[in-house]
Amino acid sequence: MLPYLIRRLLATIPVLIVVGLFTFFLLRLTPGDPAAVIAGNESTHEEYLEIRERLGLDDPIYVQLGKWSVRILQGDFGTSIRSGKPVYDLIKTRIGPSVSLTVATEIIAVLVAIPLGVLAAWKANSLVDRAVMVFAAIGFSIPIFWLGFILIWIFGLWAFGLDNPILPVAGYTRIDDGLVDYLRHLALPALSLGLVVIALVARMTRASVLEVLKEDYVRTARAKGLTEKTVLIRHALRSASLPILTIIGLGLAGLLSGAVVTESVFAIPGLGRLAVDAIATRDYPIIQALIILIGTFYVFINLAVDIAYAVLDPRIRY
Amino acid sequence: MARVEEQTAVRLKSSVPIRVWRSVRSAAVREPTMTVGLAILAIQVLISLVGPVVSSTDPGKINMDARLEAPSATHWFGADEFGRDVFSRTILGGRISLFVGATVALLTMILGAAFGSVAGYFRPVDAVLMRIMDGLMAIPTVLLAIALTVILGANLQNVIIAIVVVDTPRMTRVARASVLSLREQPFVDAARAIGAQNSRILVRHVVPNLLAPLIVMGTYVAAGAMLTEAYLSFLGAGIPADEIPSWGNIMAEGRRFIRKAIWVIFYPGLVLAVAVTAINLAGDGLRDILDPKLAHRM
Repeated sequence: MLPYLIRRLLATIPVLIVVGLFTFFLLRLTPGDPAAVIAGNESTHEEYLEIRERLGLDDPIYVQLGKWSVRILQGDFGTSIRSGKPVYDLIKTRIGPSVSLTVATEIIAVLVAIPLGVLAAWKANSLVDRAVMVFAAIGFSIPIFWLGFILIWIFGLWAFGLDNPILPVAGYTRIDDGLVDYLRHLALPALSLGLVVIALVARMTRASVLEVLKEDYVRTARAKGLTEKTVLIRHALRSASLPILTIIGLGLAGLLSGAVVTESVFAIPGLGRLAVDAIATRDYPIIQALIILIGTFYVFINLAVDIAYAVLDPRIRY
Repeated sequence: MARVEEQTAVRLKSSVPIRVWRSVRSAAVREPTMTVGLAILAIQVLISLVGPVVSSTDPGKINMDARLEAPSATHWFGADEFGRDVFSRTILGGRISLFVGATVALLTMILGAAFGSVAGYFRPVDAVLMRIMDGLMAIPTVLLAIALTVILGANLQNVIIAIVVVDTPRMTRVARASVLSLREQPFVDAARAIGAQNSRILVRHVVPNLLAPLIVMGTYVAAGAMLTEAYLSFLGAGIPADEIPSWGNIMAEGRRFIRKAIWVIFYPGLVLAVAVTAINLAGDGLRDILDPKLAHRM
């Protein structure tokens, strides 16, 4: 187990280096002068020179890369060009809402998707199965922000009137300000973001359970006279859980991409919103930090999934 | 004798299209969801190509009297903030959205085949190339795509470039996995045994066999690219709406008016969702036909 762990851990290093190099060169390979791009059209010459100086663009590129790498490795992401605040502080205040949204979405998705997937596999090729699969295909295909606006319209405006929306259609409250209010604010965003994950997890669950239901031990379990429920949950779902876990794990990372969109729709002050604002104002230090942080998160989720696999299925270690 | 040969040749010639037609027909019957998907897609492509030509309504015509007007007999999908007809804009926008989907799919298939065969076939390159792909895949797609379009400048060409950069790693992975199994096949050994060079083996024997998995993946990429285009527009980094309407930028403009005029965002989104669903259904069907092994895994 240990050699596998070490090998797998070492394998993350080149990927992280690529993410880092990419964020570094993303700005410097821009056509034209990056400082001019950041400064924008309405800036003065002094502002432009200051940005050049701050980014160290006058050094040779390898010196820039060296200095930049050292700072990033020390966890110093610099300061925001627009607000002058440390990027680290800006990110710290935005993590809560994004994590809440992501976790709420995953919970909704798993609660809905796994029963749907098991049902579809159990009743394979029936009308129920086809309905679930068509629902999954549609779930993949609906633009997240469109669904968000439709939900806002239904819950906030059309059905219940503007003065008395049944669920809040925008904003975020912290969990300290009351659990119920916190959950009510998360409901619509999590629902609109969750549809894609429901579709993904339901498909994966169906495929994995279908595979397992063909196994001999399932036939044996049925022959022993166990109830269908026991066969499905104890025997089939359990063995099918590995690929399902993977999809849930990777879904978690993918959700961050969707969160960029969802947070904009529902005015949630999270990381996605921070990213969009930073991109609109070309606040490059923030964009860099977010790409590196989220990239690292993704790499480690992948690592965790692989390790979980190795723990659960010894064949993989070799 | 010559007559017999001639007749045979004639018969063979005429039977090829019939054979193709028969296999298409049987595939269409075997995969009804694929047929439905392809049919919907064909109708949408046709409407977006022909519609703007035959329509008498100018999608760019500003009419402040009709501002945010609800759907009616004159404006089937209502009117937007400038009184422009949402229906004719949606039809014209289909051209851009479908074009983005098709172009991105085609370009990623070419790049994926190139990178994937090199990585799968030349082991030393593999490690480096695949780490680069892994690194790109670690960055959230929407974030990467908006960063790229903002830096390159938001226009049709750069939106396509950004989505291609985002989607190429996935395509490369699929191509590489197929190459890895193809290179162990007896027909590759046979080609090598008769003295074929690596480049010839790749081009003549490996790449043609990549087509099936790449086409399947290409449909999913096309569907995803159309959604990404919409997300870019929505986040203000897409194709500018004053140039050409796309399903994405019509909705992006409509978002400010959801209280008064939900139709500006509702109809283009619905049409986009139908198109993407149709492509995904077609992809599922194609996968089952072209690549049964992949179907098993998904």
